[in-house]
Amino acid sequence: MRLLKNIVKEILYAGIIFLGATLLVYLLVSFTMHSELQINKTKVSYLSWLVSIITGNSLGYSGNWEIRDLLKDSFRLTMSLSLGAILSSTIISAVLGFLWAYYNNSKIVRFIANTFSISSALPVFLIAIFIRPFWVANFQILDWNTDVSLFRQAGYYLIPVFILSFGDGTMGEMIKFIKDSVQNISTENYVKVAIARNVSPFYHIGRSAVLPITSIIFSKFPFILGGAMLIEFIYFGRGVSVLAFEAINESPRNVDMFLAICMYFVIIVTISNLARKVLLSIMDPRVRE
Amino acid sequence: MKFIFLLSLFIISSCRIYSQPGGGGFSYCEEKAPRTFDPITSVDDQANDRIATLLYNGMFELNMDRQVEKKLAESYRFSDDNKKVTIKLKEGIKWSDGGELTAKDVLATFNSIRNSSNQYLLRVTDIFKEPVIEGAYQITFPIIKALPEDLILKKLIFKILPQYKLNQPLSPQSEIARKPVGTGYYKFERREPTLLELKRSDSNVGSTKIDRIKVYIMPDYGTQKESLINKDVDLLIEVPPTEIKYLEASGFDICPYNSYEFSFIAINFNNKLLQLKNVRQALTIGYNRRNVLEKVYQRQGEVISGPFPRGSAYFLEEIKPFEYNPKSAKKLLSEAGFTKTNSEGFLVNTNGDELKFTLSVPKNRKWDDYQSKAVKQFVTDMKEIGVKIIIGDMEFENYLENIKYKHDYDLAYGTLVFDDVGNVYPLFHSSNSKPGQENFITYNNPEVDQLLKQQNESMDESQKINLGRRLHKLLKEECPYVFLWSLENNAVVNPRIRNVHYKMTPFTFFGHINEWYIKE
Repeated sequence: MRLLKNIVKEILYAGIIFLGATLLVYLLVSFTMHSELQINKTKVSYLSWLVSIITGNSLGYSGNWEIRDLLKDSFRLTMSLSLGAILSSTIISAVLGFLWAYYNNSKIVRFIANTFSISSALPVFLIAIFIRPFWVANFQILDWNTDVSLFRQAGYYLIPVFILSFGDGTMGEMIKFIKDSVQNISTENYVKVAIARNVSPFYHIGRSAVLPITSIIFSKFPFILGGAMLIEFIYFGRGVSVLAFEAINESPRNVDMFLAICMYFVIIVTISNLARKVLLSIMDPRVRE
Repeated sequence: MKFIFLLSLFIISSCRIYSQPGGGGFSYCEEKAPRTFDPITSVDDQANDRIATLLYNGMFELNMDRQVEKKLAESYRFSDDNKKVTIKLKEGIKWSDGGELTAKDVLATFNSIRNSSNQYLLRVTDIFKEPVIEGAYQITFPIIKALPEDLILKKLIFKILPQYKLNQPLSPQSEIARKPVGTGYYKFERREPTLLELKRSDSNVGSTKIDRIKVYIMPDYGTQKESLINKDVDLLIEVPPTEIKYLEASGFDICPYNSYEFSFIAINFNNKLLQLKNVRQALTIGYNRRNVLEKVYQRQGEVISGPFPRGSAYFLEEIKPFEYNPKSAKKLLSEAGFTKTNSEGFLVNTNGDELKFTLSVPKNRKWDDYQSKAVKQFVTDMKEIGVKIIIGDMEFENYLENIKYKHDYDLAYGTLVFDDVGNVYPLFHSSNSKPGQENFITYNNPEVDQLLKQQNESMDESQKINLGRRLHKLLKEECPYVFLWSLENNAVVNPRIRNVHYKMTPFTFFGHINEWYIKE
């Protein structure tokens, strides 16, 4: 019951944040692009526009494309890159973090973990442009209707995903964070007791480590989303960043498109924050308290 | 085990073997997708112009020497009093969706142009009244503005659209703008956000050797170049001048073509100092344009002396551009009363007014780097002759508003497209200097006005040429703009595509696609 109450509270709180953020974006755009704003600057139009954003209808056109169709295609790319990067960096970081914590004295493990940490301190932009010629030569797919090998299809997405999960310190930070968490948990009494009773400590360590890992994954999500916008621009020439850039460069500026992009980002970040809080409250009784 | 085997078979069978795109055809890159596929509502969209050349035809077209040739027209006849032109269309021309071209389509297209806001196409309605259908394939255009016959026909090169797709007002959202239907060599096959595919059409308008064309939308030049080098793409419409040597050395064919544009620094005649001819001439003579063309644009173009392109009837070879001469420029400025210098080294007149101008520069996404180098050189050269230039970078929207509508500037860097028929009346006639009109420099010279009026009204082609050349000479001396250069564009083509003509323009890039072929 307390869990349910907590979830409802978080949903209401996310709703308030969502409304506040959308209103802020709406007012900001109204103020900076008032000459191009095609929607009425009234409270009613804000609401009707909010409804069209949520339902995806009546978003208007960019040239001869429906904004809805363009956004669908672009967000699919941006989100698949972001989620792919989160997934790959979580898996790699978890494996390396655990190994580093557990085999702290192993030179090989330390070397691999440190290499990942150092490499991931490189800006994602630099890695991306450095690898792009190789990707274009071997993995770029311009037309999916032509015959494309499975290897090429895999490389087409996986290389940008790896670069994204690798760059800007994302993976390095996560490896270190997981290693520290695991080491801290290992010194807890219940783990020592488990070891003394000859019970494998991995279950207890793993269960306790899930909390900080979940927390860091969700907190990294907005950064990875930002990185995805850079990667999609460099590699795919399409995606949300390209749409936003074109919307702002159009004459007159395509405010409908720009607003829709801002709004969908607000929705994504709000949902990700909500998911983090709900997940934590499910997993950790202390949060519920 | 059996399941794994079947699963493997399924995966293997679903793997497709990669092959080069454009096997029976070729592919090229556009920086941006066309905003629409209809040629009437499209404005300043070169991507659309190129696609439109492939998808649609006009009754007439311009050949490589920019002379009029019949396309959908079988024959034409001017009335004895030259007040009507009757055009007979070719019979049996098919639309790409199977319908047949008739005179009704021409009438519907004309009416759509009349209802549009396309300023360029609307000029057609200044020449002709609503045409009259005289049978299924014959149509007569009443002429309301007397012009020589070839100029009349040049106004009839607009692309014809099927009347059954024009029953609603045109917009980028109308059906024809999304799923084009034309009589061109190619028909629309499919589109994705970053890909367009065209297939050879059976329009009976003529034969073409290339089966299909793919257009890849790539906003970044780097990706375009890498795709070209990796043979994923066969043609780049335009490459930066500094890339030409490298790409040529990499085995690609370079196809230079006239950009049909000229760059200039517009001079606002509302500024009293700029009303002085000596000052205007000094700005031109004091700017080392050849140096910029050589160092920045790698000699891909030529310095110009007026608003007429080489090849235009009004272009006179003998009218050479002013050569760079800072001493002469300083002398001209001293004659204009700027004899002293202030502590910063800039010239001042007897009233103590500093010779200082702002230069409005639009942000230009394409080759922005080159433009900014050219502008920096202008500032340096002007400093040398004692003129202070303050750069005002601005978004294109603001630039347009300040220059064209508010006339709120001193100098403005810009680029214009040469007029098809060399008509510079809108740019320099004093009657055209209201806010929003083309004479945004508010130039007012009775002699120029007179020449423009005579030229506009003349029916005699040789007299028109004579007047045009006098205009060229006068405008060079008058310097209403600092005429800069007309650049050459360079397309880069995979050598497997043969017979690509060099006499194309950005607007008729694929005008002779029927002569292109793929090397076996």
